Amino acid sequence: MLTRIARFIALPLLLLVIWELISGWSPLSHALRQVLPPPSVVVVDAWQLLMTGELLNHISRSVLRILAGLTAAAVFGISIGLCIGLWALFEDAVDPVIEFLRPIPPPAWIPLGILWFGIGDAQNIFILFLGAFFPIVLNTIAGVRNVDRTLIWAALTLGGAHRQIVREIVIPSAFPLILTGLRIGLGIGWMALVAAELMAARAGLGFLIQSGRYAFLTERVLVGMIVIGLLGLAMDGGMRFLQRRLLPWNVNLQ
Amino acid sequence: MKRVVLLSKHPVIRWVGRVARRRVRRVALITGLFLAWQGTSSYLLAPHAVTLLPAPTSIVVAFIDLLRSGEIVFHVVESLKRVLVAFTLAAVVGVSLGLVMGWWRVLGHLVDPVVEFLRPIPPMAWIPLSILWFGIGDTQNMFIIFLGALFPIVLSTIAAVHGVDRTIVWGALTLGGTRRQILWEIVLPGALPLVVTGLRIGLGAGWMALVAAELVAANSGLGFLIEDSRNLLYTERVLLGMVLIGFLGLAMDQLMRGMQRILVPWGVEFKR
Repeated sequence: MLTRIARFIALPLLLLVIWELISGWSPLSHALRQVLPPPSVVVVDAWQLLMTGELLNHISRSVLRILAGLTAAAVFGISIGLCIGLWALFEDAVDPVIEFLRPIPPPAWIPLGILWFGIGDAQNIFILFLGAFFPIVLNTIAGVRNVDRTLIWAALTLGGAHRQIVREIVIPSAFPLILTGLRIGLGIGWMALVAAELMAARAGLGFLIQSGRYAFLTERVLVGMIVIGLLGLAMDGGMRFLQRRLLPWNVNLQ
Repeated sequence: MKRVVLLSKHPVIRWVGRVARRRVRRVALITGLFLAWQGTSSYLLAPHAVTLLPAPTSIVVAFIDLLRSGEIVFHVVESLKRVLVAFTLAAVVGVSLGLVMGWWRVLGHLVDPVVEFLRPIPPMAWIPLSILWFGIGDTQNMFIIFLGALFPIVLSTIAAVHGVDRTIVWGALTLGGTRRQILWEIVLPGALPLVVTGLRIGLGAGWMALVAAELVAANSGLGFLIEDSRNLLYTERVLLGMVLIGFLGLAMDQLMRGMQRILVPWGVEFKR
């Protein structure tokens, strides 16, 4: 156990110490101040940002955008996905539209988003929505397709109505993949949101790192990047927890 | 007695009819949407609103214009050049790092925390830092593509090495195979399908990251084209650029799938 912990932190610790020594205490430190400030400076800046409440403000703005965009993407994505999966006519009509739009990566929508919505929440949420929507739709369709046919035949044999079959067989068995779609959508949406906030926002973590760059505050850029990584990790962990909690019978962790 | 068969009930005719109906259904909505868009932009919207939503025909006109002036080719070549260089680098570094981390467990355990620490930071979040490091242009863009492509490649390669069937390795050991033989003749061919999948995913992620990097920090390339056109209010060029980005992304993905089928016919993963 102890050796495992030691092994786990050995290299990160070594790298941190080397980084601190080179950019904080070596003759190069002055030149490196702007390029890669030492960890101690980053920690001090993080502490200051936390104390002034600035960091929490940016985090809460980003999180609110995520909640709004993900909710919208979930509502549209799941309902369109269910319709496509259940209804052949709808699939034939809508599938080409989705296949046309899907290859366009969410960051490529940013300039158009700015033209349509200006700078701020609406544009950011729009980009996050686009990033999250497609994984959710595709996974919902896959979930509906994966439903065990025998169950449906059995229900039909027992005289189940179409509505009952959808409600009691299709949706519960598609649910694990729908949740997976939500998790992947959250990850891609988060990535897209950071890009959108870099380009067009006055608050949020993407804005924090971009404004840090303009002010040549490299330590602030680093603080922002670390917080972005941690927040992404925390959200993914939360989704995995939800998956385990809601679907104890199907721990599909990949 | 002669059986009368209605021509319209003939199985071949019915099959053709079914396929045709399906075709019609598949193009109906998308064609309708395009027509509605065209009509809205040409007849309904006020001139200042048309600036925000130009008709599909004006996108085609913009395409022809930019093709004539050579701008399209220039930006496409610039973007592809960056992707090619950075992706090749990411492939070499990622596959070797993944092989080393997968093959030597101890090294894997040591390096893993560093990878796991850096991985959750999306490539886009590296853009401001990399502008401070490299300024604006090729190096910065390639750095971002490299980061976008690297992590999927490393992780798939590690998973591929760990996923090699143990029984085959034990079999080889029993028959007196050396470590080198096992690496070259069992682990590498066994890992290759998943490695190629990782390369495909990495290329997609890298392409997405490139667009973001070019939006913020470039003087050429498709990302620059759409951001520059936005500043000039050439919305038709923005839309054209988006379509081209999507099309090129799709084409590269198809290319990788084709390579996958040729390179590793023994383990093709058909995943959408």
